[in-house]
Amino acid sequence: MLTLANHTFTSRLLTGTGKFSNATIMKNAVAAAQSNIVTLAMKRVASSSGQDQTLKALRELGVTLLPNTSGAKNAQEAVFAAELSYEALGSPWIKLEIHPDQRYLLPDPIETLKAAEILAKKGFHVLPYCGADPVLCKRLEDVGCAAVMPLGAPIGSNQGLQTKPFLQIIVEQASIPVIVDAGIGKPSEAMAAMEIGVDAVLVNTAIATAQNPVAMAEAFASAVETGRKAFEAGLGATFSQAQASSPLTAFLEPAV
Amino acid sequence: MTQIKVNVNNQPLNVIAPISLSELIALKQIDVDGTAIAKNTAIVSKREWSTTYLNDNDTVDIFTLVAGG
Repeated sequence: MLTLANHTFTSRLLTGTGKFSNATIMKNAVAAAQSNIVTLAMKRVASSSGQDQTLKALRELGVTLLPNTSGAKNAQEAVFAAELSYEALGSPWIKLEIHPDQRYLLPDPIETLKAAEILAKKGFHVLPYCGADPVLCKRLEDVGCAAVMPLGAPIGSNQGLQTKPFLQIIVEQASIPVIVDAGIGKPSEAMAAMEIGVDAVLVNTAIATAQNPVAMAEAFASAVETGRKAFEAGLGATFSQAQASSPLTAFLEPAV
Repeated sequence: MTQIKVNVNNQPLNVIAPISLSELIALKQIDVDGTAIAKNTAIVSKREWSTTYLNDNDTVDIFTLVAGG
């Protein structure tokens, strides 16, 4: 069970809803992923295009909606975006993300910390997207975040766990859940994250841009479950040299 | 009944006053669920939409939830 802000969730796989070719495939993929928490973005209503069907599809699934503050370039804009999403959904969950740089979409740590503190004080359940910086993650915990969401690699890059050694330090030090967000491109990478003890992973691009998003969502769901099982089972130690698994007495020698 | 000019999501719009935010949303055929409104950059909560009326030259920003990661 994943516990966030005193709410429990059976799935440790969060899914994002971006980049799917249509809302039906997205809905089927989220169902196949068995995710309980699903992210959305907020934007100005475009006067010309038809209404986005994402919310309607997710309402039918009955999942917990986690709107993000994507597009915010500083703490002030992120707080405004969070308040808008609270008015839109009546829910205190917010995925805080502030990434002013368009090329790598890396989160601004200073603005993120500022916004996290303001939003946590206002009563939001703040899940901040952040760099895999163990010191920052502790600071985000101190200001009242419900979890931290360090990145594995840049958003949408499918590069996997580039930050793994730092994620391990974050997991070791955290007293709140750690959710790896961004960069996970394969089920094996989600499993590897779970094996080191992160509490959950968020996957979007790897599922949405797969040839078969629904089958890929299933693959991620089982990978996350297996990785968690392995972590709970307690991984064996690693050594730089061989450690014999069989008795080394030469079997042709006569028994003494 | 007077015609007023408001700015909705950066587009000029002529409407007949009095018009509330609820009526504006209905006019634009936008779902209430998942929608938030800021009038002159201040967020107006849903329970105040029906009693919040537009004045000439008001700026209205309408936001909605869309697909995203």
